[in-house]
Amino acid sequence: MNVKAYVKFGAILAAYAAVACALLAVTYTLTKAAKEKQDAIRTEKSLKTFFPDIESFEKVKGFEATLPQEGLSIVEAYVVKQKDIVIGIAVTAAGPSYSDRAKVLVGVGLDNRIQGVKILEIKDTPGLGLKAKSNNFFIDKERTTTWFGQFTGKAADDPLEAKKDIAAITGATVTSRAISRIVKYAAANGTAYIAKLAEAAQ
Amino acid sequence: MNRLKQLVRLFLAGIVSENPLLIIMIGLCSALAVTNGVDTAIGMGLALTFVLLMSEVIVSAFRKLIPDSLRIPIFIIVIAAFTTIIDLVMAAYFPALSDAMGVFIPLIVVNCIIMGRVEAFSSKQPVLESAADALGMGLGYTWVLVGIAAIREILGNGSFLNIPIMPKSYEPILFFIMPPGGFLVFALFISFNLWLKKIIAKRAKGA
Repeated sequence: MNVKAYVKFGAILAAYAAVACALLAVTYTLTKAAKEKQDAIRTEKSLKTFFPDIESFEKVKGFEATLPQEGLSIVEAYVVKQKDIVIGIAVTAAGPSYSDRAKVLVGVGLDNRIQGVKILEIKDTPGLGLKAKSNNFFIDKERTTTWFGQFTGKAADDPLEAKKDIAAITGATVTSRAISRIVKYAAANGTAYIAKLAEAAQ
Repeated sequence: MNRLKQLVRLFLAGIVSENPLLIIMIGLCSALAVTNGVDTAIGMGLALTFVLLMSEVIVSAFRKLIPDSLRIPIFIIVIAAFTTIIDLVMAAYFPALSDAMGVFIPLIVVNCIIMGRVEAFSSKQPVLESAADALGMGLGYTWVLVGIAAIREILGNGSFLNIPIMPKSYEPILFFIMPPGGFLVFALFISFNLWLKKIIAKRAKGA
Protein backbone atom coordinates (compact mmCIF):
# COMPACT_ATOMS: atom_id res chain seq x y z
CA MET A 1 0.00 0.00 0.00
CA ASN A 2 1.27 3.45 -0.80
CA VAL A 3 1.06 6.56 1.35
CA LYS A 4 -1.96 7.89 -0.52
CA ALA A 5 -3.99 4.80 0.30
CA TYR A 6 -3.08 5.09 3.98
CA VAL A 7 -4.25 8.70 4.09
CA LYS A 8 -7.45 7.85 2.24
CA PHE A 9 -8.30 4.88 4.48
CA GLY A 10 -7.44 6.90 7.56
CA ALA A 11 -9.80 9.65 6.45
CA ILE A 12 -12.62 7.19 5.74
CA LEU A 13 -12.22 5.53 9.12
CA ALA A 14 -12.11 8.93 10.83
CA ALA A 15 -15.32 9.97 9.04
CA TYR A 16 -17.17 6.86 10.26
CA ALA A 17 -15.85 7.34 13.78
CA ALA A 18 -16.86 11.02 13.79
CA VAL A 19 -20.43 10.23 12.71
CA ALA A 20 -20.69 7.52 15.35
CA CYS A 21 -19.40 9.93 18.01
CA ALA A 22 -21.91 12.58 17.02
CA LEU A 23 -24.72 10.03 17.26
CA LEU A 24 -23.57 8.98 20.74
CA ALA A 25 -23.31 12.59 21.88
CA VAL A 26 -26.91 13.20 20.81
CA THR A 27 -28.15 10.08 22.60
CA TYR A 28 -26.21 10.98 25.73
CA THR A 29 -27.73 14.45 25.82
CA LEU A 30 -31.24 13.10 25.25
CA THR A 31 -31.01 10.46 27.99
CA LYS A 32 -29.13 12.59 30.52
CA ALA A 33 -32.17 14.01 32.30
CA ALA A 34 -33.82 10.59 32.71
CA LYS A 35 -30.56 9.08 33.96
CA GLU A 36 -30.18 11.81 36.57
CA LYS A 37 -33.72 11.17 37.75
CA GLN A 38 -32.97 7.45 38.13
CA ASP A 39 -29.79 8.28 40.04
CA ALA A 40 -31.76 10.50 42.42
CA ILE A 41 -34.27 7.71 43.06
CA ARG A 42 -31.42 5.28 43.71
CA THR A 43 -29.76 7.70 46.14
CA GLU A 44 -33.00 8.17 48.05
CA LYS A 45 -33.46 4.40 48.32
CA SER A 46 -29.92 3.96 49.62
CA LEU A 47 -30.35 6.75 52.16
CA LYS A 48 -33.47 5.03 53.47
CA THR A 49 -31.61 1.77 54.02
CA PHE A 50 -28.63 3.55 55.59
CA PHE A 51 -30.76 5.57 58.01
CA PRO A 52 -34.00 3.75 58.92
CA ASP A 53 -35.12 6.78 60.96
CA ILE A 54 -34.77 9.18 58.04
CA GLU A 55 -37.58 11.65 57.62
CA SER A 56 -36.07 14.11 55.21
CA PHE A 57 -32.80 14.85 53.53
CA GLU A 58 -31.36 17.79 51.71
CA LYS A 59 -28.44 18.30 49.42
CA VAL A 60 -25.52 20.25 50.86
CA LYS A 61 -24.78 23.11 48.52
CA GLY A 62 -21.12 23.63 47.77
CA PHE A 63 -19.85 20.80 49.95
CA GLU A 64 -16.09 21.17 50.12
CA ALA A 65 -13.58 18.49 50.94
CA THR A 66 -11.84 19.69 54.10
CA LEU A 67 -9.48 16.72 53.97
CA PRO A 68 -8.41 16.56 50.33
CA GLN A 69 -6.63 13.55 48.84
CA GLU A 70 -4.98 13.22 45.50
CA GLY A 71 -7.25 11.93 42.75
CA LEU A 72 -10.33 11.77 44.94
CA SER A 73 -13.27 14.14 44.73
CA ILE A 74 -16.63 14.72 46.38
CA VAL A 75 -19.56 14.42 43.96
CA GLU A 76 -22.35 15.47 46.29
CA ALA A 77 -23.43 15.28 49.90
CA TYR A 78 -26.78 15.04 51.70
CA VAL A 79 -27.65 15.96 55.26
CA VAL A 80 -30.08 13.41 56.69
CA LYS A 81 -32.67 14.68 59.16
CA GLN A 82 -35.28 13.35 61.53
CA LYS A 83 -37.71 16.11 62.59
CA ASP A 84 -35.28 18.89 61.67
CA ILE A 85 -32.52 17.29 63.73
CA VAL A 86 -29.48 16.13 61.79
CA ILE A 87 -28.97 12.39 62.29
CA GLY A 88 -26.21 11.84 59.77
CA ILE A 89 -24.64 12.67 56.46
CA ALA A 90 -24.27 10.81 53.20
CA VAL A 91 -21.39 11.64 50.89
CA THR A 92 -20.85 10.49 47.32
CA ALA A 93 -17.17 10.41 46.44
CA ALA A 94 -15.39 9.42 43.27
CA GLY A 95 -11.88 8.16 42.69
CA PRO A 96 -9.74 6.00 40.45
CA SER A 97 -10.24 2.24 40.62
CA TYR A 98 -8.82 -0.59 38.52
CA SER A 99 -10.46 0.72 35.36
CA ASP A 100 -11.93 4.19 35.20
CA ARG A 101 -13.35 6.09 38.17
CA ALA A 102 -15.68 4.54 40.70
CA LYS A 103 -18.44 6.39 42.52
CA VAL A 104 -19.38 5.39 46.06
CA LEU A 105 -22.12 6.61 48.40
CA VAL A 106 -21.21 6.47 52.09
CA GLY A 107 -23.56 7.21 54.99
CA VAL A 108 -22.10 8.31 58.34
CA GLY A 109 -24.04 8.71 61.58
CA LEU A 110 -23.48 11.19 64.41
CA ASP A 111 -21.44 8.57 66.28
CA ASN A 112 -18.92 8.76 63.39
CA ARG A 113 -19.73 5.21 62.41
CA ILE A 114 -20.44 4.18 58.85
CA GLN A 115 -24.14 3.46 58.38
CA GLY A 116 -23.82 1.95 54.96
CA VAL A 117 -21.88 1.90 51.70
CA LYS A 118 -23.29 1.65 48.20
CA ILE A 119 -21.14 1.47 45.10
CA LEU A 120 -22.98 3.57 42.54
CA GLU A 121 -20.62 3.24 39.61
CA ILE A 122 -17.76 0.88 38.94
CA LYS A 123 -16.34 -0.40 35.67
CA ASP A 124 -13.87 -3.01 36.89
CA THR A 125 -13.46 -6.59 35.72
CA PRO A 126 -16.61 -8.73 35.82
CA GLY A 127 -16.14 -11.76 38.05
CA LEU A 128 -13.28 -10.11 39.95
CA GLY A 129 -13.48 -6.39 40.75
CA LEU A 130 -17.23 -6.20 40.13
CA LYS A 131 -17.76 -8.55 43.08
CA ALA A 132 -17.27 -5.42 45.18
CA LYS A 133 -20.79 -4.21 44.40
CA SER A 134 -22.42 -7.64 44.13
CA ASN A 135 -25.31 -8.46 46.46
CA ASN A 136 -24.51 -12.16 46.10
CA PHE A 137 -20.81 -12.15 46.90
CA PHE A 138 -20.30 -12.75 50.61
CA ILE A 139 -17.10 -12.38 52.56
CA ASP A 140 -18.92 -13.97 55.48
CA LYS A 141 -21.38 -16.54 54.20
CA GLU A 142 -22.96 -17.28 57.57
CA ARG A 143 -23.82 -13.69 58.27
CA THR A 144 -24.31 -12.92 54.55
CA THR A 145 -22.02 -9.92 54.73
CA THR A 146 -21.40 -8.55 51.27
CA TRP A 147 -18.06 -7.00 50.45
CA PHE A 148 -19.40 -3.46 50.60
CA GLY A 149 -21.49 -4.41 53.64
CA GLN A 150 -18.40 -5.01 55.80
CA PHE A 151 -17.89 -1.25 56.13
CA THR A 152 -21.17 -0.84 57.99
CA GLY A 153 -20.53 -0.24 61.68
CA LYS A 154 -16.87 0.61 61.26
CA ALA A 155 -15.68 3.97 62.60
CA ALA A 156 -14.73 6.70 60.17
CA ASP A 157 -11.29 6.99 61.77
CA ASP A 158 -10.56 3.27 61.47
CA PRO A 159 -7.74 2.59 58.99
CA LEU A 160 -10.25 1.15 56.44
CA GLU A 161 -7.51 -0.41 54.39
CA ALA A 162 -7.95 -3.50 52.28
CA LYS A 163 -5.95 -6.46 53.61
CA LYS A 164 -5.79 -4.79 57.05
CA ASP A 165 -9.17 -4.21 58.62
CA ILE A 166 -11.07 -4.67 55.36
CA ALA A 167 -11.21 -8.07 53.67
CA ALA A 168 -9.90 -7.89 50.11
CA ILE A 169 -11.49 -9.67 47.18
CA THR A 170 -9.26 -12.48 45.93
CA GLY A 171 -7.82 -11.48 42.57
CA ALA A 172 -9.02 -7.91 42.90
CA THR A 173 -6.73 -6.31 45.43
CA VAL A 174 -6.48 -3.11 43.39
CA THR A 175 -10.26 -2.70 43.37
CA SER A 176 -10.52 -3.52 47.07
CA ARG A 177 -7.86 -0.94 47.96
CA ALA A 178 -9.28 1.73 45.66
CA ILE A 179 -12.86 1.42 46.91
CA SER A 180 -11.72 1.30 50.56
CA ARG A 181 -9.77 4.49 49.96
CA ILE A 182 -12.83 6.22 48.48
CA VAL A 183 -14.97 5.06 51.42
CA LYS A 184 -12.42 6.32 53.93
CA TYR A 185 -12.22 9.67 52.15
CA ALA A 186 -16.00 10.10 51.99
CA ALA A 187 -16.44 9.08 55.63
CA ALA A 188 -13.67 11.38 56.87
CA ASN A 189 -15.06 14.37 55.02
CA GLY A 190 -18.57 13.53 56.18
CA THR A 191 -17.59 13.44 59.85
CA ALA A 192 -15.58 16.65 59.43
CA TYR A 193 -18.71 18.34 58.10
CA ILE A 194 -20.83 17.05 60.97
CA ALA A 195 -18.24 18.33 63.46
CA LYS A 196 -18.38 21.71 61.76
CA LEU A 197 -22.19 21.73 62.01
CA ALA A 198 -22.04 20.88 65.71
CA GLU A 199 -19.50 23.65 66.30
CA ALA A 200 -21.68 26.18 64.50
CA ALA A 201 -24.70 25.17 66.59
CA GLN A 202 -22.93 25.81 69.87
CA MET B 1 -44.18 -9.91 -5.49
CA ASN B 2 -41.29 -12.29 -5.86
CA ARG B 3 -39.13 -9.98 -3.77
CA LEU B 4 -41.69 -9.94 -0.98
CA LYS B 5 -41.68 -13.73 -0.94
CA GLN B 6 -37.91 -13.67 -0.81
CA LEU B 7 -38.03 -11.26 2.16
CA VAL B 8 -40.48 -13.46 4.04
CA ARG B 9 -38.30 -16.49 3.32
CA LEU B 10 -35.24 -14.68 4.67
CA PHE B 11 -37.13 -13.64 7.78
CA LEU B 12 -38.41 -17.16 8.47
CA ALA B 13 -35.00 -18.73 7.86
CA GLY B 14 -33.59 -17.05 10.97
CA ILE B 15 -36.33 -18.44 13.17
CA VAL B 16 -36.00 -22.17 12.52
CA SER B 17 -33.97 -23.48 9.61
CA GLU B 18 -31.02 -21.11 10.07
CA ASN B 19 -31.53 -20.20 13.72
CA PRO B 20 -28.38 -18.39 14.89
CA LEU B 21 -28.20 -20.26 18.20
CA LEU B 22 -29.53 -23.69 17.32
CA ILE B 23 -28.26 -24.20 13.76
CA ILE B 24 -25.41 -21.75 13.11
CA MET B 25 -24.48 -22.00 16.79
CA ILE B 26 -22.91 -18.61 17.30
CA GLY B 27 -23.32 -16.11 20.13
CA LEU B 28 -23.76 -18.89 22.66
CA CYS B 29 -22.03 -17.48 25.77
CA SER B 30 -24.43 -14.58 26.23
CA ALA B 31 -27.33 -16.92 25.50
CA LEU B 32 -26.33 -19.29 28.30
CA ALA B 33 -25.45 -16.48 30.70
CA VAL B 34 -28.68 -14.47 30.66
CA THR B 35 -31.15 -17.36 30.48
CA ASN B 36 -31.64 -17.96 34.20
CA GLY B 37 -34.46 -15.43 34.23
CA VAL B 38 -37.17 -14.69 31.67
CA ASP B 39 -36.97 -10.91 32.19
CA THR B 40 -33.25 -10.70 31.39
CA ALA B 41 -33.73 -13.05 28.44
CA ILE B 42 -36.41 -10.80 26.93
CA GLY B 43 -34.27 -7.72 27.56
CA MET B 44 -31.17 -9.29 26.03
CA GLY B 45 -33.14 -10.59 23.03
CA LEU B 46 -34.68 -7.21 22.28
CA ALA B 47 -31.39 -5.36 22.83
CA LEU B 48 -29.55 -7.69 20.47
CA THR B 49 -32.34 -7.50 17.88
CA PHE B 50 -32.18 -3.71 17.94
CA VAL B 51 -28.40 -3.59 17.57
CA LEU B 52 -28.48 -6.29 14.87
CA LEU B 53 -31.21 -4.54 12.88
CA MET B 54 -29.59 -1.11 13.02
CA SER B 55 -26.10 -2.44 12.25
CA GLU B 56 -27.29 -4.56 9.32
CA VAL B 57 -29.33 -1.72 7.83
CA ILE B 58 -26.55 0.84 8.17
CA VAL B 59 -23.81 -1.47 6.86
CA SER B 60 -26.02 -2.52 3.98
CA ALA B 61 -26.93 1.08 3.09
CA PHE B 62 -23.27 2.11 3.10
CA ARG B 63 -21.88 -1.13 1.68
CA LYS B 64 -20.59 0.58 -1.48
CA LEU B 65 -18.82 3.23 0.63
CA ILE B 66 -16.98 0.74 2.83
CA PRO B 67 -13.59 -0.23 1.35
CA ASP B 68 -13.00 -3.95 1.58
CA SER B 69 -9.79 -3.69 3.59
CA LEU B 70 -11.45 -1.43 6.16
CA ARG B 71 -14.68 -3.33 6.58
CA ILE B 72 -13.98 -5.02 9.92
CA PRO B 73 -13.05 -1.83 11.88
CA ILE B 74 -16.00 0.01 10.34
CA PHE B 75 -18.38 -2.82 11.30
CA ILE B 76 -17.03 -2.63 14.83
CA ILE B 77 -17.58 1.14 14.97
CA VAL B 78 -21.17 0.78 13.76
CA ILE B 79 -21.97 -2.09 16.13
CA ALA B 80 -20.27 -0.45 19.10
CA ALA B 81 -22.13 2.82 18.51
CA PHE B 82 -25.54 1.15 18.54
CA THR B 83 -24.63 -0.98 21.54
CA THR B 84 -23.62 2.12 23.49
CA ILE B 85 -26.88 3.80 22.47
CA ILE B 86 -28.95 0.90 23.81
CA ASP B 87 -26.79 0.85 26.94
CA LEU B 88 -27.45 4.55 27.61
CA VAL B 89 -31.17 4.23 26.90
CA MET B 90 -31.53 1.21 29.18
CA ALA B 91 -29.63 2.87 32.03
CA ALA B 92 -31.92 5.90 31.73
CA TYR B 93 -35.31 4.23 31.34
CA PHE B 94 -34.96 0.62 32.57
CA PRO B 95 -32.47 0.80 35.48
CA ALA B 96 -33.50 -2.56 36.97
CA LEU B 97 -32.97 -4.33 33.65
CA SER B 98 -29.72 -2.47 33.12
CA ASP B 99 -28.44 -3.61 36.53
CA ALA B 100 -29.49 -7.20 35.89
CA MET B 101 -27.82 -7.35 32.47
CA GLY B 102 -24.68 -5.63 33.68
CA VAL B 103 -21.76 -6.56 31.50
CA PHE B 104 -23.76 -8.45 28.88
CA ILE B 105 -24.96 -5.28 27.18
CA PRO B 106 -21.45 -3.98 26.41
CA LEU B 107 -20.60 -7.52 25.33
CA ILE B 108 -23.16 -7.31 22.50
CA VAL B 109 -20.35 -5.54 20.63
CA VAL B 110 -18.45 -8.79 20.33
CA ASN B 111 -21.49 -11.01 19.87
CA CYS B 112 -20.70 -13.28 16.93
CA ILE B 113 -24.26 -13.18 15.63
CA ILE B 114 -24.00 -9.48 14.80
CA MET B 115 -20.47 -9.60 13.43
CA GLY B 116 -21.29 -12.78 11.53
CA ARG B 117 -24.50 -11.55 9.92
CA VAL B 118 -23.03 -8.15 9.06
CA GLU B 119 -19.96 -9.73 7.45
CA ALA B 120 -21.67 -12.68 5.76
CA PHE B 121 -24.96 -11.09 4.78
CA SER B 122 -25.61 -7.38 4.89
CA SER B 123 -22.22 -6.30 3.52
CA LYS B 124 -23.32 -7.88 0.23
CA GLN B 125 -27.11 -7.50 0.27
CA PRO B 126 -29.61 -4.63 -0.21
CA VAL B 127 -31.18 -2.83 2.75
CA LEU B 128 -34.59 -4.56 2.78
CA GLU B 129 -33.09 -8.03 2.60
CA SER B 130 -30.70 -7.13 5.42
CA ALA B 131 -33.55 -5.83 7.57
CA ALA B 132 -35.52 -9.05 6.98
CA ASP B 133 -32.46 -11.12 7.86
CA ALA B 134 -31.81 -9.07 11.00
CA LEU B 135 -35.39 -9.33 12.23
CA GLY B 136 -35.47 -13.07 11.55
CA MET B 137 -32.14 -13.68 13.27
CA GLY B 138 -33.07 -11.38 16.16
CA LEU B 139 -36.40 -13.07 16.67
CA GLY B 140 -34.76 -16.49 16.30
CA TYR B 141 -32.30 -15.52 19.03
CA THR B 142 -35.02 -14.07 21.26
CA TRP B 143 -37.44 -17.01 21.14
CA VAL B 144 -34.70 -19.49 21.97
CA LEU B 145 -33.49 -17.29 24.83
CA VAL B 146 -36.97 -16.84 26.27
CA GLY B 147 -37.75 -20.54 25.82
CA ILE B 148 -34.60 -21.69 27.62
CA ALA B 149 -35.09 -19.05 30.32
CA ALA B 150 -38.71 -20.06 30.91
CA ILE B 151 -37.77 -23.71 31.50
CA ARG B 152 -34.78 -22.81 33.66
CA GLU B 153 -36.66 -20.26 35.73
CA ILE B 154 -39.78 -22.39 36.28
CA LEU B 155 -37.88 -25.57 37.21
CA GLY B 156 -34.92 -23.94 38.90
CA ASN B 157 -36.60 -21.11 40.74
CA GLY B 158 -40.31 -22.01 40.72
CA SER B 159 -41.20 -18.67 39.21
CA PHE B 160 -41.99 -16.99 35.90
CA LEU B 161 -40.98 -13.36 35.34
CA ASN B 162 -40.09 -13.32 39.06
CA ILE B 163 -43.67 -14.23 40.06
CA PRO B 164 -43.83 -17.53 42.00
CA ILE B 165 -46.09 -19.93 40.07
CA MET B 166 -45.23 -23.36 41.44
CA PRO B 167 -47.05 -24.79 44.47
CA LYS B 168 -45.32 -24.11 47.80
CA SER B 169 -44.42 -27.79 48.20
CA TYR B 170 -42.28 -27.58 45.05
CA GLU B 171 -38.59 -27.71 45.82
CA PRO B 172 -36.75 -25.74 43.06
CA ILE B 173 -34.20 -27.83 41.17
CA LEU B 174 -31.17 -25.58 41.57
CA PHE B 175 -29.38 -27.52 38.82
CA PHE B 176 -31.37 -25.66 36.17
CA ILE B 177 -30.26 -22.24 37.37
CA MET B 178 -26.61 -23.28 37.32
CA PRO B 179 -24.58 -23.32 34.08
CA PRO B 180 -24.80 -27.12 33.59
CA GLY B 181 -28.58 -26.88 33.58
CA GLY B 182 -28.28 -24.21 30.93
CA PHE B 183 -26.23 -26.54 28.74
CA LEU B 184 -28.73 -29.37 29.16
CA VAL B 185 -31.77 -27.24 28.28
CA PHE B 186 -29.84 -25.72 25.41
CA ALA B 187 -29.05 -29.19 24.02
CA LEU B 188 -32.71 -30.16 24.27
CA PHE B 189 -33.62 -27.05 22.31
CA ILE B 190 -31.13 -28.00 19.59
CA SER B 191 -32.72 -31.41 19.12
CA PHE B 192 -36.22 -29.94 19.27
CA ASN B 193 -35.28 -27.43 16.58
CA LEU B 194 -33.76 -30.13 14.35
CA TRP B 195 -37.00 -32.10 14.62
CA LEU B 196 -38.98 -28.95 13.77
CA LYS B 197 -36.72 -28.29 10.79
CA LYS B 198 -37.21 -31.83 9.49
CA ILE B 199 -40.99 -31.54 9.72
CA ILE B 200 -40.96 -28.21 7.92
CA ALA B 201 -38.72 -29.62 5.18
CA LYS B 202 -41.07 -32.62 4.77
CA ARG B 203 -44.08 -30.32 4.51
CA ALA B 204 -42.32 -28.15 1.93
CA LYS B 205 -41.55 -31.25 -0.14
CA GLY B 206 -45.10 -32.54 0.13
CA ALA B 207 -46.65 -29.22 -0.90
